[in-house]
Amino acid sequence: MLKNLNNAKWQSSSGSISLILQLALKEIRNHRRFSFFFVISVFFGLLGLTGIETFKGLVESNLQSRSKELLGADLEISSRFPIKKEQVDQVQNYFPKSTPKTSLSLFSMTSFNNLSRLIQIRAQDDGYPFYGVLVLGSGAKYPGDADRLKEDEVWIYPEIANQLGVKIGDIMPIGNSEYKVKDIVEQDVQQSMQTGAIAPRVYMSMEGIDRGKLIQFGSTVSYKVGFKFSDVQVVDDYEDKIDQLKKSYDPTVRVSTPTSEEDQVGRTLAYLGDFLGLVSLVAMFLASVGIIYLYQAHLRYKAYDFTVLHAIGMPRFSIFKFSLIHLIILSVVGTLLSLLFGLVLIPPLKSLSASFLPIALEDTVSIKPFFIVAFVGILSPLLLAFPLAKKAIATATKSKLSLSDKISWIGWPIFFCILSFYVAQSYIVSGAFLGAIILFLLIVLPILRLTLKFLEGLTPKNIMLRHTILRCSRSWASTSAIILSIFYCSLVFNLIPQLRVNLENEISVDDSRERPSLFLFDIQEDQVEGLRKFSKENNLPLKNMSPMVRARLVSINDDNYEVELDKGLTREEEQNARFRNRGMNLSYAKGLNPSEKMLEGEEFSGQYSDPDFLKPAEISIETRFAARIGIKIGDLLEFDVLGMPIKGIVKNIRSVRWTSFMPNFFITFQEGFLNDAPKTFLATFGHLEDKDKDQIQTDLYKSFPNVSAVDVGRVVERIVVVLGTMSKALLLMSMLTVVVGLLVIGFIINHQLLVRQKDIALEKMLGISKKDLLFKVRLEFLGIIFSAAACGVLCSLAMSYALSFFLFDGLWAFDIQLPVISLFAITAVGAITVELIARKSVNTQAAVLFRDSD
Amino acid sequence: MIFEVNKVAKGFDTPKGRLEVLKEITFSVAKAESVAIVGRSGSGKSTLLSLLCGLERADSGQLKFDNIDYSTLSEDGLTSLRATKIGMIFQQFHLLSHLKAWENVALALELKGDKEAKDKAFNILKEVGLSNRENHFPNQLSGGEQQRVAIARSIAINPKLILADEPSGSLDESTGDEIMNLMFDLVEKHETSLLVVTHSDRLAKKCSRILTMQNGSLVQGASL
Repeated sequence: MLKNLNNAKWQSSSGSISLILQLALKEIRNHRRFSFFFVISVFFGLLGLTGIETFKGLVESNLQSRSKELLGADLEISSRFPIKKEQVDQVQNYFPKSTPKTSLSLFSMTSFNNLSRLIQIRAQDDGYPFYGVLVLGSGAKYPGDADRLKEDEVWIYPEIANQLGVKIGDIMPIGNSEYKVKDIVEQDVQQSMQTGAIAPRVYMSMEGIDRGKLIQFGSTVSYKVGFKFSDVQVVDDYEDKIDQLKKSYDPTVRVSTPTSEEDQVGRTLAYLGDFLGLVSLVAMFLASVGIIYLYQAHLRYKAYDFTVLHAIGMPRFSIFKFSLIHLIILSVVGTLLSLLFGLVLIPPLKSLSASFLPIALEDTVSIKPFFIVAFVGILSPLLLAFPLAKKAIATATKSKLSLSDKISWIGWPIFFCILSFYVAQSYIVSGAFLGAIILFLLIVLPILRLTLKFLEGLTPKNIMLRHTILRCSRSWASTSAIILSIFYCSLVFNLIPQLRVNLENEISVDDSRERPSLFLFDIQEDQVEGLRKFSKENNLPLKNMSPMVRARLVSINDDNYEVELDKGLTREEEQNARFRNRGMNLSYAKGLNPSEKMLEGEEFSGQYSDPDFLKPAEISIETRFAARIGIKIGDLLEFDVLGMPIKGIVKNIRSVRWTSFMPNFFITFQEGFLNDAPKTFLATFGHLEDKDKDQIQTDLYKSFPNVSAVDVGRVVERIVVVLGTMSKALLLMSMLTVVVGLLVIGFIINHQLLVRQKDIALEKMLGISKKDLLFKVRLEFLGIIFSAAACGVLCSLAMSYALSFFLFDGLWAFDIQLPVISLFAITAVGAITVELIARKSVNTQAAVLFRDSD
Repeated sequence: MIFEVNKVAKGFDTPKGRLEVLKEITFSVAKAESVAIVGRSGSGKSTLLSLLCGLERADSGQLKFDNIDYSTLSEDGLTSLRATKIGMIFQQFHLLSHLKAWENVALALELKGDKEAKDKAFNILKEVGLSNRENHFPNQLSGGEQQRVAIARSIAINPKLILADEPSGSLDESTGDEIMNLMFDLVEKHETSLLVVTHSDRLAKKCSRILTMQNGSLVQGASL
């Protein structure tokens, strides 16, 4: 019998599951308040992540389904240098049944109605792109029923028509030639979102390029050859061949597939999505704080039930299963609600995508976000609850925790770290995010605890104040949960607009008079004096005339400089790889310009003096570039300049204020070494009044039609608009975080006042008036909320300062309005929450104290 | 008389209609007298206690404490009365969990405006036999010790009347006896009137008079 007893299983397994499920459902019915709060916490905690993942899924599926159209080919090779026949043949070696077609794009200038603008010219072989069509204003499509462009005809983007007043049939000068406007492009799936607003596109034929002699020495041209494969549907399935093809080229040739193009097009939006995801994780973190608090309180209440269940014969593991199933049901409900309502975030997120994508997003269903959200929504609360439930059951049933139970608390932090990395796609960003959360946790809570202890020691004379401090200090679990919720809300809510102000300030510069009005490039060497004369005659502030020599980096300290572009790279690895595989622009100068600051090393030792050019020249490297490719003082770099090898030794490392919009280079040689190299020049015109700028641009174009001029003001405006769009999205997400934080504190305060009912009744009994009780409650919770919000604001200012110092090299811009508004806004909403709950609780009938005896 | 209750009635509206809990209760408590009220659960004892300490208002009748008619007192007046003249002892002790033993006692004194609340609290805790437990929190004290703190709190303000609601109900017999003896000793020493609501005959017999509640009415018992 003893053996039977010892081996007996508690009912049949199917019977016990059914009973456990019944118990779990009864638990939900009998504890509606807890169930409701739990579901709401999961729902709101996941809402942001649901919105972001669903939106990302939507973007990914849209881009994926149209990836061939985005690229225009099955495969494309591109370079800043003309593509050679053998490079084209390389592709055909791997994919014999392929048809190549060429395209190219470059910048130039056009003028009309006494206005001139920078444009991007795109020319392509007839019948290219292979996929995707241009839809023209006349209704014709290309490739399709649109007539082929003749050598003197162009299609223009609507922005050119609007800005310059050009109509179909007008003759537009471009470079040294004139072209007739044949039609206006209404839809172009291959439009470049980065340059579109600054340099709208003009399509012409290849013959048109030759006719206008638009490609001159030093022109920044992007050469492309697209391939259509007759025997391959999805080229990305041929990973090995693609990898071998990439390896067969030098780093200046880029190989693009529809997948890589899709990534490229969606990159900016992907970055934004990553940051939005991180902000949504703050909401999840706050919701988790709320869940921990609620569940712990619930378990204290359940301790008696666990003891009884165990006493009547339910095994501990079954009690644990019952607790878990109870939570799983609630988590599933919360997750489903979140999946449903997360869709409401899609329309505003879709509207912001218009600034970043060349295609309109169509509503498609993607299954991946569903699984991700479901996985996170169910696993996260379980990982939080698991160690709490184990401990509570062990205590109630007087058993010991196993080692695995004791260390199970580490599950959720690890999960959160992995989730952060998944969302940010970057070790650095996710590390910084997690580091900030932990750092502030380690700083803020101890400081506030010590402050309370200090205030406790002061023993204020006012009884209510003194007892409020005692209550805050001695109910540390609820106090710290409220502090954390409000602190992180306030931090996020203030940080994002603060960063935006910093960025805008960085870009706009304190005084716009310091910023150049026009940035000139493609200046030929023989035009430099002419341009100086032109400027002098027209009283124009020509500045920063800087030579630019095209090159590519061949080796560092005699080690070959090549990087493979693999899949599965983090954001930093991807950026690094893209960076390393570009050609480079070198310059030379006597020393640093006003937007540069030396960080390490020494100034150039004057003009280069070796007449045989055997000794390496001295070079100055920009600090981030140096960090990216691992260069330090004294390193020997070898470059290829139009086939000629040249060497330089790193003499100093400098920082550059890129937002100065002055000509700046990653690599600058000392004067005298590259002076005879083939080069073009960059320059700027200083501050020009807006009313004069157009005329000056037109006059410049007339005298120097090949010199391209970028209106810096427009660029800044465009950046500010993009920043504004991004910041709106981030602010929307941070407001969700604030909502979650306030919900959590609402739950906590509500719970606290519920458990304090008897204390409140007792205080009434002892002689504290309702008015004083209300004062105490308000003082306690508002004091905590205000202090935590103030800490959040201060830490956000510190964080924005640190970020502007380390990331933007810029001056920190402090806007007093933002922190004050966010501090008082959060405190005010917190005050309303407290007031609604407190008024009800102080009306507790003191007669509850007597109910125990009846 | 320290306390007079004259034809006090109290009822509550329920979904099933009006429930008359107290039906014209009349009794009084003299100075330094101890009175026990016994009765079954649901007989109206809790409601009576709520009325006596001014937490609820009677529907009819008169309540007078030290010749002050309750009906003439505002909410603040009743609050002040409780703070200064009435001490309470509960079955579940009802100490504030976030306050130490001496702080629980001192709170009652501070509410009365006493500037020496801390010293007096320590003295009273010594009197109830807790001289080395002043700095402990309620969850660090046994049931008997918690009730001693509650008794100390009630006696600290030098009340004219102590209302005790089943004071030994949560204690085992021997601890309960010990605590009740302490309570009666203190009440006698401080010449405080005592009104005890209890199920326990043993406790009721310690009082000088026993009243019985039955269906909302008082049945006068014997004086002892």
